[in-house]
Amino acid sequence: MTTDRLTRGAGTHGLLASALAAAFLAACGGGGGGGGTAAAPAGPATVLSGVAVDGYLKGATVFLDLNGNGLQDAGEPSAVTNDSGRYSLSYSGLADSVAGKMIVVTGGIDTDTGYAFGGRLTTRAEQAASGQVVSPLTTLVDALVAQGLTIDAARSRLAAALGLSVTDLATDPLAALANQPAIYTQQVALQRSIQLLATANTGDGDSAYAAQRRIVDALAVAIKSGTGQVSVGTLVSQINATNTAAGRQLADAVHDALEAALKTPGGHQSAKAVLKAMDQMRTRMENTRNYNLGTTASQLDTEHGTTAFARLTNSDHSDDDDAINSVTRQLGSTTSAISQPASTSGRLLASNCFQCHGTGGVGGFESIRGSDAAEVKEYLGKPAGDDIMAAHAQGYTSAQLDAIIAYLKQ
Amino acid sequence: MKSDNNTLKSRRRLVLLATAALGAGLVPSLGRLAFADSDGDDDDNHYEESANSSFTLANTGLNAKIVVVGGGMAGATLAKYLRLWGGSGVAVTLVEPNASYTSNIMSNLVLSGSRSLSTLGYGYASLAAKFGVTVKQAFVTGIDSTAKAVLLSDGTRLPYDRLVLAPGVEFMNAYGLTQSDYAGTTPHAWQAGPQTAELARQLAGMSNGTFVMTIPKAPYRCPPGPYERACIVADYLKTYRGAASKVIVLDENASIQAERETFTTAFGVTHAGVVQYEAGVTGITIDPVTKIVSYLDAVGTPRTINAQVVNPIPPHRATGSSAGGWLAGAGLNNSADGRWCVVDVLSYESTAVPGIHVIGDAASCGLPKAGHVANQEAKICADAIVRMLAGQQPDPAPVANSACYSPITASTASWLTAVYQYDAVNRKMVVAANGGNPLGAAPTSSATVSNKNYRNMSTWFNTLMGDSFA
Repeated sequence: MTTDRLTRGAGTHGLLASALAAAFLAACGGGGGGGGTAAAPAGPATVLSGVAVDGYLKGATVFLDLNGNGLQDAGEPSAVTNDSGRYSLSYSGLADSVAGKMIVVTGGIDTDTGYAFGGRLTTRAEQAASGQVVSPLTTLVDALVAQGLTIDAARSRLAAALGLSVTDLATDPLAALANQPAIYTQQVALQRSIQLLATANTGDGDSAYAAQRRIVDALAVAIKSGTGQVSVGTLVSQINATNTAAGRQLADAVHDALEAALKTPGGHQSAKAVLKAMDQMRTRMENTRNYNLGTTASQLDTEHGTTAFARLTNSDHSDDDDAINSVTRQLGSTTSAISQPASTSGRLLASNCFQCHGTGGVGGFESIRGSDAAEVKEYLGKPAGDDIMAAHAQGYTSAQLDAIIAYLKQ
Repeated sequence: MKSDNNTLKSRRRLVLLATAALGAGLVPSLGRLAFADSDGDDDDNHYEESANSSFTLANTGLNAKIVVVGGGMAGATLAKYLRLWGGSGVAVTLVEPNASYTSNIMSNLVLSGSRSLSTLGYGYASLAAKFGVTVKQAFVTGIDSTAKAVLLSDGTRLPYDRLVLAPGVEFMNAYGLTQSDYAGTTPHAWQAGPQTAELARQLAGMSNGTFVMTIPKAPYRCPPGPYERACIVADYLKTYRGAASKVIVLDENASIQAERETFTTAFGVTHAGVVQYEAGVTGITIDPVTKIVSYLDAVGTPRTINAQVVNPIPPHRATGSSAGGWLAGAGLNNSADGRWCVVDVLSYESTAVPGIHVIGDAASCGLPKAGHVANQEAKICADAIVRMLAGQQPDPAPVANSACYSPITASTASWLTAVYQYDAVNRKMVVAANGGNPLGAAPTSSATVSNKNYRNMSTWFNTLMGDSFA
């Protein structure tokens, strides 16, 4: 692969003194550690680590853009993300501080869809930071800084536009999915519109990433000049580019359908399936250069003998659940490994749930593992004949329900 | 499908066209993407995660040899959960004569053409691959409880530390009928398989005729099942086989055995004029050739019916429990009538022979004989065995549950659920409600019969089967 070759070759074309080249090779190619091999490091071996996330991006290239040209050049530290999007970027012996340098993420697989990631994400490095998120939202913060805002002003403005907190912008959206789904739904909606519009606005001899930077910058201009919170679709519609109407439709559709999917029993699994369907529509529009979401959805429905694509893109969301269920059934398969909770207390009691919620409580009508476990208590006050879960929940003592919840929360 | 089943086939296609939200056409273009719904049914829109999940086995340090006889709902669940909870040192061998299990649950829908038998098949590959269960295709010829070994039809002698029997039921000769009549002209179809297909074939040949079904005295397998069947057949006959069709239900019990209000309404309102229900019937005799059914009604008056199709559900007993059977040979069928195996409901260990557990329909444990319940009995038994292998006592207060959906028409269903708590004084499982309280508690049935219940029925069924077999 190209990135591997560039990475491995870093030391031989380095910007640095040849005495440091060996240390650099060890740090970049050796995958961590490496401090002991440096003959005379000018500074301590250091690591920038964090997570690259649209959905988690696995196998994505991460590099530190030391010279600020936006490209991965020889001598710039780089790494590849692991299966859960984690990166660990080793560097050592740099003359300057890395603080404020851009961490750039490209390529890889979006683990929420299993599709290749065509975007380009950035964030500004903090010195020796761990847990730095690189996401579509951090990318927008950088673009706002490029429009002349301070980093704090950039964060405040973006947070206000999306109705989020400044802390949310630096939060792993998938880790916060249960409590703050809007981080995820808005970032993936914006990212899809950015990629769609980048393709729609790519000129001859233009690079895809250059086009994306132009769209992100144009979006930043719109966000900078706005006030208060607006929908992602409204933001996209204000981008100064062609085909923003399609971009707006896509952003709204992705956002609304994901928001609805996350509320269904399938939760994140349903959302992943919906996102796959959305990406199929987006790539179809990009490939055909026909930027009309409605006709694209109809086309895909005709090809598949379905109605789900059209219903997911319809602005009337009254029958979203059926469409989401349909798409989930067809697209929502991933293998996950379920480990046994450490404490067996409550295990036999909890196994009464598994006939309808799957072994371990991970599926069926609704996942009840983790924080969802306590929802069973909401059924205690409902009329038993109206809801099978109410009838069922009321057959347990409250101590038994507590034991079940504690087991499922492990 | 058999060629003589064209009517059913084409009608089922119509049903599918009407109900399938997303056709199979989505499959080819997606190529490598795996299906969430692995069992091939057509009307389930819900995500089924368990079939796509892998599980790590508990790390217990236990070592033991467990033999499980019977790969139905109880046996399959037991084998899976013994591995899951007991860990890799607990070697589990599942002995089952058939290569796959055919689900009784949903098999009434085969009679109306809403499902095919092939959608009800569950193999043992997942238990073997994901949980490390050793599957042996053979039947049991004897048990040596002294030497602790099971003798198999292929001559194998399987030693065990503990033996779990989940053999299900066999059907008794009754009403003047024998096993060959059940296999031929008057199928009971109370064990899904060839008899189900035969009964569906007979129904498809009816025309404005009378269908008679009989219900044995409790306990029998699946308390609401016969009443559900009466509804499904009535719905099918009146829609497709003539408006003058009749379904006559002869019940040896004094009243409807489950969801009494729901089925009373179904018989008297939903299927009014089609279903005729008679409780407290005795002295049933059936002529398998003429299809003439004779009986005494609730007040002892002799009655006769000329039926077009007769579906006797004969009394059943634990498989192997009749004279000379392998279960009887081991002295395990110790209920008063010799038909069932009495067990300690804390561990499902036989009260007759130590070291041998009996679960599912063959056991007499106070719980209904049904697939969902058998699944939970298996978990209680698995948990008890793991504890006993570790030198502990079984859980002193196990809880069991039952839940099921019953189709009432081709698009509506009801549900029934109950939670059973352990009564330490009487050492039996009792129905509980209102915060686990047994006082005045009864199973709960749905207030309404609805389309939504019918959709949820698929989720329940698929998840239950996944929890048992995948």
